[in-house]
Amino acid sequence: MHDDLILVIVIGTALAFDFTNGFHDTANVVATAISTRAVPPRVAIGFAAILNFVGAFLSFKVAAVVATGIVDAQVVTTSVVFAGLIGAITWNVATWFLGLPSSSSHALIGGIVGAVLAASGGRAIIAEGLVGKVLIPAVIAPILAALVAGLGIAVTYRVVGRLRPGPVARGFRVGQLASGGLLALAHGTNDAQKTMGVMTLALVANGDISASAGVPTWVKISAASAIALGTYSGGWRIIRTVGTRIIKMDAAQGFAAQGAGASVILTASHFGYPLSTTHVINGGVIGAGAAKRFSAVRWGVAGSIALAWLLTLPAAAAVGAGVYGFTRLFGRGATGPVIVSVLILAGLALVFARRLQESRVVAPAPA
Amino acid sequence: MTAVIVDTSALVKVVWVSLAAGLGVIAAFALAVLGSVRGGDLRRSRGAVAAAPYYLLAALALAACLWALYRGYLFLVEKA
Repeated sequence: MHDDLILVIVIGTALAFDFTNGFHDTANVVATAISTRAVPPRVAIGFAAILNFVGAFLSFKVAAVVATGIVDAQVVTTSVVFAGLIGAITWNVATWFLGLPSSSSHALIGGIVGAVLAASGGRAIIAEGLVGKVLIPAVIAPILAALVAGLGIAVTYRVVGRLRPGPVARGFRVGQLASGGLLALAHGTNDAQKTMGVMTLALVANGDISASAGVPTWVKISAASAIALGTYSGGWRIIRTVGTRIIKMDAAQGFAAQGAGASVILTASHFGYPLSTTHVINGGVIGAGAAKRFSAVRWGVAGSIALAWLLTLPAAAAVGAGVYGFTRLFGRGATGPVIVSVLILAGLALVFARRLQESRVVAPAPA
Repeated sequence: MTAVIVDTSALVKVVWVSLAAGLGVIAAFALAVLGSVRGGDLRRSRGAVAAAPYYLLAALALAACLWALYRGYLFLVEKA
């Protein structure tokens, strides 16, 4: 009974993380299209939510990818998964609160690594996996996207630079619909499946399904729905940061950033190299701005974002480890997770109520 | 040691394919915009025949972009 209660809490927490993932990462898909007025804000977010939902069903081959090769799967229990998810949710909400785009995937990996460290010590961490799958891609992703977007916008300005700006902007706005759609599909495929993987891992750890069983249909539908709902709720604070605070973007720059982002993410995924959507899109935005004029990039904002990226893994890991340690104070049963859940829900309700009220004022009026 | 931790071969492929695909799509779409805008201007001032080469350029560049979009979709579905 206690195990089942923990499982229910873990599944609920995983879906809550999935919601914050969609909410947090909406900006990656829609910010450039909104800021260049390629599409009205509410339409962009609705479009992104639908494509995120569809994307979650396109491929199930990466569903259990998050912890694989990074921690020893033998030591992962439902309590570890729960603590890791709380670490990730906490970091996602904190960075959303500050309007900073950061990687939800890295937050989830950081949370699980922290919880595993607290539960089983450093031997359960696969250092090669952490460096090769997380740290090195985290450095490469934004640089590569910035390079592609920067070179792309330089070529674009050379090709269309002498044309009338009105029709050119309209053309690139149409292009943004296609590149944004592909990004939303990619995001749904990558990120919803991470939650599916975590939920499946918890079901296996609890003995409800065998390790060789596939992802249950209800897990697929609930994870896809949670990320789509989160996306539709729209994290306006981060949309504003990516869309207007890093650079003041024209339609060609928006298309270059999205085109670079889509090409880098899809290529990397195809070759089995996991990259963060957040890092790629923000790298693309910075590259498209710097190629036009280096001083056009607000480097202070870019620096804050980079700092948030550096802190994501250790901060989520610290919370994951702390939560695991706290829950163990109440034994191996469900008491610890129940207390943590109640505390987190109360905190989240306060933060969301306050910030949603603010974002209604900040958000542009729906068209 | 680095080569063991990081699959450098895959990494190099990611870099050059991303550069080629990203730059290719962005440049192709810029050519589509160029063809469409110039074609429209020429059609109004000198007639459809003068505009035809630019419209052809726009159509070819757009076809290249649509092909890239389709390939992107396949990459998404087929990834390991």
